[in-house]
Amino acid sequence: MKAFILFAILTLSIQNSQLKATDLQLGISDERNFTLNDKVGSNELKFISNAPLEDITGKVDTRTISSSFKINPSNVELTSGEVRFKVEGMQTGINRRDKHLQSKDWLDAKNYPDIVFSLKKLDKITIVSNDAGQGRTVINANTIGLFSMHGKNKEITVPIKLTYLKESEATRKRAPGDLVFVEGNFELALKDFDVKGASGIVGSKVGDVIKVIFQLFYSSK
Amino acid sequence: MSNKTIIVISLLLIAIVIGKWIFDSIDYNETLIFSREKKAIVTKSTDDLFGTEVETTEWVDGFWLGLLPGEDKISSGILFGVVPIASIIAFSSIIIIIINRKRKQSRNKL
Repeated sequence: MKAFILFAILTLSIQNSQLKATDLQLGISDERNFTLNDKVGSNELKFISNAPLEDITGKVDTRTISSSFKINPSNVELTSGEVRFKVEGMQTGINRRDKHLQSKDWLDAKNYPDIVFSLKKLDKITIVSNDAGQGRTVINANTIGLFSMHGKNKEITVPIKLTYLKESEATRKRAPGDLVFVEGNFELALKDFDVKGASGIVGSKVGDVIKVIFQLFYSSK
Repeated sequence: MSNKTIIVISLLLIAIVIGKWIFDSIDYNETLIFSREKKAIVTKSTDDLFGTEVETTEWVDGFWLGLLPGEDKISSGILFGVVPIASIIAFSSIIIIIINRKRKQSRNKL
């Protein structure tokens, strides 16, 4: 009997967690497709390396970034999408270093031209603020997905802050449709992606871990 | 030109190069190890629509002198660093001083 009760509780709790659906409380119940849009805001994707001999701050040329995602504002957990950018679009302020970054020793742009984050779902969602009258909801969440770089894949969790704006007269001044702003940062260990670099460089001139900072603007039409 | 004058001029030139490096490092907001051809200008602003602070980064082309050159291929760019420039100045001064000494010695022999 005890075992049966325990099994029932376990099953219910698993079902409950699977059924959990966060609603942005904006009165939208259908799934919407969003694509990256420079007209909504200034998209930024930066990478930072801190090493004993040198700090490097780089930026990805926004013309080489493409991204889209699907979201149902009444069930945010099921959000899925992709952020993709070109290794050739990574700029560090030194042309020589940009070329090194693309070389076989580093990210091998010839064989692996793209770096991709495939978003599988959102987790640990908390509503930071909701203003249904203004059609605006802000959430914090963990995005769980597969990060692909240099021919290696790794599941990673990226904490984000997402601001959802329902289409209004004010939003239409930037772009038609609903608008979304996503920002966050995360760290990647180069060894997880088999990026070894030139001998002795990682750990001295390039950090073992690279910090990625992003702010991305989307529209739904 | 006397050896003393050559040494003073060389030191002065090296001081100017080091001064340029310090000036560029301050301008770049970083101790420049390698010379740079681009500088990231970060502008922070408030996006009223989204109610959040956003950053805009733009690259500005230019030249900022580092200790070492930004190039590693054989080209003129390989000289653009404090270390190669100072080395060339020091090396040239030494050569001139040696030539002067040899001239003096040959004059004395005569």
